[in-house]
Amino acid sequence: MRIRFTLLLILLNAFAFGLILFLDQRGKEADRNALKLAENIRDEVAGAQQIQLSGRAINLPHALNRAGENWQITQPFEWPANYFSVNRILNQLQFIEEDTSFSVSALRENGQTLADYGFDKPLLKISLLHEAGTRSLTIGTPTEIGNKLYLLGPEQATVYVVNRSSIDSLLMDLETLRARDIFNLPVFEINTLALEIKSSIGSQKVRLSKDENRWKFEAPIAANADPALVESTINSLSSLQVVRFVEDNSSDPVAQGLNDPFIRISLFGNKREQTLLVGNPDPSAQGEATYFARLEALPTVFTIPARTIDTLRQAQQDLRKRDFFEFDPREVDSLVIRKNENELRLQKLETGNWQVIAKIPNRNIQTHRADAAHVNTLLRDLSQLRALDFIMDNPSAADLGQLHLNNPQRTIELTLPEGKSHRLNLAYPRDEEEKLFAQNPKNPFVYEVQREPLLTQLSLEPMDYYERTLETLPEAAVIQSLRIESRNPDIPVRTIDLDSESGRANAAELLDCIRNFSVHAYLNNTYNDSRESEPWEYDLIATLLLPDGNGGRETTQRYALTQRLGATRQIGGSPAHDCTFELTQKMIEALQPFLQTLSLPPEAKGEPAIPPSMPEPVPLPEPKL
Amino acid sequence: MLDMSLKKIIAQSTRTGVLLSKILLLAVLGLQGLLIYCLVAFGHIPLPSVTANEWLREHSIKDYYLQGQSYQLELNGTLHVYDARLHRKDLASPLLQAKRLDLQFSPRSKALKQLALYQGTLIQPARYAPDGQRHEVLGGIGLDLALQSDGASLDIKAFTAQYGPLHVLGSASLDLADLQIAKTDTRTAEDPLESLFEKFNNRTELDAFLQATKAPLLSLRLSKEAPLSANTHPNQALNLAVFFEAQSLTHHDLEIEAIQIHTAVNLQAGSISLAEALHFEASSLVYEQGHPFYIKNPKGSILTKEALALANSQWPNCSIHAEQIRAFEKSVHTATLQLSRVAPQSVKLKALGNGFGGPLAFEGFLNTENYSGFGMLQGALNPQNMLSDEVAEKLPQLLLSGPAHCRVQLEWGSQFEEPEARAFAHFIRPQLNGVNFESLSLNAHFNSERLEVNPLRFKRGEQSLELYFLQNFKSQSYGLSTKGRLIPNQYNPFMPRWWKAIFNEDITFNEASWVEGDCVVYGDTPKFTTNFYYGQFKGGNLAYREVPVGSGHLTLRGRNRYTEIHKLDTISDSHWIKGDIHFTSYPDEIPASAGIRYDLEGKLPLVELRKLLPPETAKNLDPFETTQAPTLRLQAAQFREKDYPQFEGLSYLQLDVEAEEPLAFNDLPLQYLRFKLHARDKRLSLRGLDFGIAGGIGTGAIDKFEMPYGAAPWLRFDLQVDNADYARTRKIIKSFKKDTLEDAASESPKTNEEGVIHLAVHSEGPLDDLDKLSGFGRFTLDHDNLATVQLLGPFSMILEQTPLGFTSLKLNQMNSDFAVEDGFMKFSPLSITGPQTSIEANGTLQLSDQALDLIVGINLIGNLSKKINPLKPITDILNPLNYLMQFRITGTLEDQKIRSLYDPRNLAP
Repeated sequence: MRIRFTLLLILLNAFAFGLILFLDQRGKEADRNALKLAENIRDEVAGAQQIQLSGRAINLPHALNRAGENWQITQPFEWPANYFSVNRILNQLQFIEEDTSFSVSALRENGQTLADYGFDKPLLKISLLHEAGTRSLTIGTPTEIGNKLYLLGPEQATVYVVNRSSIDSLLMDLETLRARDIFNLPVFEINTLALEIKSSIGSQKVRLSKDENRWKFEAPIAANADPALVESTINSLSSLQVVRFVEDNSSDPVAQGLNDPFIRISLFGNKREQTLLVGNPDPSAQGEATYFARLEALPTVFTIPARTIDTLRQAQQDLRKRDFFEFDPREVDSLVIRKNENELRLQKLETGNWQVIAKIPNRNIQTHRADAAHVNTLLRDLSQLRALDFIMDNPSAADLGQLHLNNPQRTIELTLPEGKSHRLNLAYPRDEEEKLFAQNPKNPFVYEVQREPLLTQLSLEPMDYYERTLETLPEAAVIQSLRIESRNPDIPVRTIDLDSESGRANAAELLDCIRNFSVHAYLNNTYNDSRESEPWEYDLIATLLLPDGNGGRETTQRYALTQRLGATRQIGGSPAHDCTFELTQKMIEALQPFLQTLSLPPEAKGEPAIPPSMPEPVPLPEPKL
Repeated sequence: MLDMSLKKIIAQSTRTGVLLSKILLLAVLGLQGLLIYCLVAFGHIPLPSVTANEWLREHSIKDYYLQGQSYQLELNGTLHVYDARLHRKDLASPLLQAKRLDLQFSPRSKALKQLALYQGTLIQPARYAPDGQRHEVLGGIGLDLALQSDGASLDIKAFTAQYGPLHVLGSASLDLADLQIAKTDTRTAEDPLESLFEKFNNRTELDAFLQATKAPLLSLRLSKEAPLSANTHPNQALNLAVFFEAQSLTHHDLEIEAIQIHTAVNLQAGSISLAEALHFEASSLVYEQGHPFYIKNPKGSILTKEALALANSQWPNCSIHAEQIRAFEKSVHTATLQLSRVAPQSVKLKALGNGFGGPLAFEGFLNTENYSGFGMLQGALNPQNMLSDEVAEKLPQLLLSGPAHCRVQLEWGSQFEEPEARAFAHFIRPQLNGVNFESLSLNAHFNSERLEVNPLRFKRGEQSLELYFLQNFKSQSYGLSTKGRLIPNQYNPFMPRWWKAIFNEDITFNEASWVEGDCVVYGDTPKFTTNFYYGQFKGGNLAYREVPVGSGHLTLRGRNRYTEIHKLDTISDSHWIKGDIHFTSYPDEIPASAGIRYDLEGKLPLVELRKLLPPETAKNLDPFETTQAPTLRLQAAQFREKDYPQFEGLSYLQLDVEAEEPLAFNDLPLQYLRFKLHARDKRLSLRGLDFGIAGGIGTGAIDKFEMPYGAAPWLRFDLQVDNADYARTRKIIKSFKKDTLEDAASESPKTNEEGVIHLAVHSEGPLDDLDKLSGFGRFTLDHDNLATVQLLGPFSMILEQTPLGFTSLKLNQMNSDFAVEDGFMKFSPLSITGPQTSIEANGTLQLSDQALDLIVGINLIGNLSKKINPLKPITDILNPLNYLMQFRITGTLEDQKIRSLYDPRNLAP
């Protein structure tokens, strides 16, 4: 009896314990169900190690695995995930808010099923895998009213009604889930670009490497590359983005051309390299043309814009540096121009001025002050010399002879500080009238360059380099009068009004030109007053009062002038300086109002256009009496 | 006995134990019953709140204690505190309030094992607030943390909070001892709340920032793990991974969409350092102030070691990438910018991108103090794309189809002011408004005062040009000069209006054509109006209105809307032209000249002259035909009267023609022709008309009047022809349209024996029907063998060379005044006379078919008797022959039919 009572107590205790456990568990579940959706999944979202996505919103199921701080897509293909997009999805899930909810059991009690809410074919199913297991959210159909969606909770016990906008933004993030970047090497870290281009004539390997901020071709020839173009090309390649992922696993690598890619693009960074294989054009591309491509290290096939790739087809030509005669014009100490026995040297003096020294056979060496501006322009143009075309990369002696580079039209030699020098030969074959070829004797390459005005600029006539300032009047000098005398005695002398303020203003440019008389170019280093030498038409005569400490000394300057022979050409002569020259444009324009005027018709002057009178009409016929 | 006692004791003990166990079981059952009651009735085990609060207040931890509205205990030891409040002893009000706080303690150590907080609020006590008011600083706090290893390690599974609009998410996993690593200074240790709330006191900037954001979110993860890329020792710092995002950030004129930033910082001894590169990304960045700019998908990273620089407001070494940057209405795509600090106040900028028509690279230096700097921009870019759209629209469109290179040296002063640029560009096979070039190079210099192109050169086959340009921004003027050898109208697609007006389709070129020229143009900006231009052009092997020009030159000059071709001088194999042409235009929408004046002289065939003249004027030359080139002098003004009514009726033409070689006028062969043509309004007049016809000399004047209502032009003329050869005149009359110029040119002696004719006609009528001319005239024909009257018929012919030759009466002159009317030439009368005989004819000649209708009276010896017979009037009446010798002539000039008036056939009815 006692034992039975004890047993009864034990049993009652056990029952009570079980009941307590049951009531406790029910209470926990009730608590859990009472939690908000976001709170319910917060742990799983924060600690998710894998995210699985499936449903109608995406073509193929996706799986993303956490890899340290980043995420990696592992299904349907391997590809880096967009860190920001994954984070946004997770954050949105952490903040997802339901408007209302109802239990699945209540739904079943009403004779409904989960399929009625679209959960059998969900729009999207998100499964979060974490240490403790997997929890899933299933997004079903839209509600009949209001802009909302049904969402089946992780325990499949509660259906939540959530705002559609939050789901839509989540779906938008799915679009950007896959990182579109192809290369992940920092563009400024890249030091080598290698291309293997296949064409109808075979395969060509092009390799460019960076060496102390200079880009050079290592293959197929050793030559300088254009750094701006190479770096821009690398930037374009680095910025390449996937246009479309080829998600169809049955895609044919042969049809895509990826089994034998027409171009392999390799970028090398610091101990890292990535290679992109580019195949055939994508026939299904809409709009801009694209190529099939894949990274060598990954099987994932995608398409990329054709434009960037097409620019690489002629990389050997297009990326080659065309500036082949580079130097800093400011550093040049001397420039020597030779043709056969003739030599002309432009020498920079310590004062910074230039002098021209001409060595012409059978004549004394001539030395003359050179025009710094002209020399600087010549040096600037030489430093800007660019190849129009790459003619030969490895010419034979016969080739050079054929182009006359063994007996050049001009040889240029630049001397730079520290004994550095640059040489350039310029030549053209005998019958060639358009082209000009250039070669730096230190390099084998032969370039085509623009013939004119280079050859004209590299004149062997010393006068072409003479100082262009003919005379500069002292500050204190006064131009007292100015007149233009025509050599035609029928045309009266034109005295330019310098007395009135308006007269001086009208002649200001001309006065300035006379004060600082410069020439555009020398034609002859003598002056001949005869019209047979030049068609002199006018004399410009200025009366000057030059300061001499005794109230001034009056003197007269005379310049002979032709008519304006062209828009930019008018010839002048100076008996005092014994030279003949072309006027500067400024001087021509300053003279224009005093030498030539337009013969404006009345309608151009705003006056009535009166036609000449007509003859009297023929009288009416009448009998001859 | 002992056994018995022992047994009793054991039995007693057993009973006692059983009893005790029963009591225990009953007690447990009772307790369980109570629990079941609590669980059924309340769902939990309620604890008395007053007692609990008192206990908690007494058992404060470092002056902090917990209070709650109600307490619920769960079987697993979890204590739920509802309306929980965290107090500090020295503060009257709670620091933290939560709707619920769950505490789970370890059954063994009774240490706190897990803590969960729901809907908490952090309150800044009045003491720590500058305004002396309590403030809720964090709301919506949720916290789920677990203490493991008896409180040695902390795992914050989730932390959420709301700070204004900012959602804060967080998690942490670390040893509690590690928190010491991040411990700050001692002052904070004395009153950590002061340190905490001090941060909230300085939140003005943070609040302003958050107010500028839309839906900001801050996600934090605290751990002791250092990321792989961190450069700090893992044991030396706590690592806080930070992720921030916002739908947008709007601050003044700056708007950033979908901004995201993530990084990791190290917390160590109260200091913060970047443990990982700072990565940032946004979908767009728009800045609207001043010159707006737009950046699409900017993203970048700032290296860890650069955090300090950034924190110290220095420019960090970093690289930034953007899909597109748009500023100053220009776009650069796939732009990458690298910033490198080279000195405390200087950063090196290196940028790559695609823009301005091609790939570009920039490298330069920027003074970060005053933003002055310099750099070099180079690449295969199109300099035109760097110009503003407004300017670029006015320029020809440059397309780069071949290798291109552009290099721009840039320099700018403080605050980006006073920019200066020196550019060099070289293009191979460029295209300008569809015109292809072999190469084009350009040197330019720009600063705040001027833009100078010095020079632009291009080459195009044998054509080349050098152009200099200077634009002065202060005086708003420009000057341009060019020199080159080119075919001008090939460049019309991008040349100004005046150029196109001159080098239009009238000028045609062939493969052998050449034109050399130089030209200067001066004008005003910004509309680039032309004030003055002057050009000289030489050319050859070309054609103007299909008139070949072997070689020639001209000066083209003008001011504003006025242009003149000055000293035009062209020569070809068969002709030449010299002179001036003046073009006047007005500033209006009409794309053609208002007036063109010609002052030309030349020698050129009519066929070529017709091509040169305006069609209406050229029509006047249609009647003329010659293979030779007459000498011409043209003075004319042609106004566009339709568009400019003020010039109505003022167009005129004066053309002096001297054709010394044979020609034809309306198929009328002339040996030579000279005249002065005056045309104006409705009248065209020929004066000084002087021509050779049939060996004679023609003079006179002709007027042509345009008639209203579509009527045919009216012709009036007064012509005289003297000493014309009768035979040739007859021939002309016979075969008016069959005579050849060669015949007209042939000279033959003019004697009375062959016949000499004099003609004067003064007439008028419609030009389209000369048969309707009306007027008067007179002609005289002197011809020794004009006709012979055979008195005896054939016998007289036989007797002509005999003494009886008087039977043949000769006629040697014919003359008549006549009137022309209604297509008939009316003679009044026609006199044919000879030494003895006179014939008079009255009647008409129909001009259209030359039909005759004459009554001819022959006075056989009238002239003889007139000389010797004083009674001639009487004898004339009495002379029966005069009555008998009257005839009627019909037929045509060529086929005359003569019949006596007394022919019986005439009497028959």
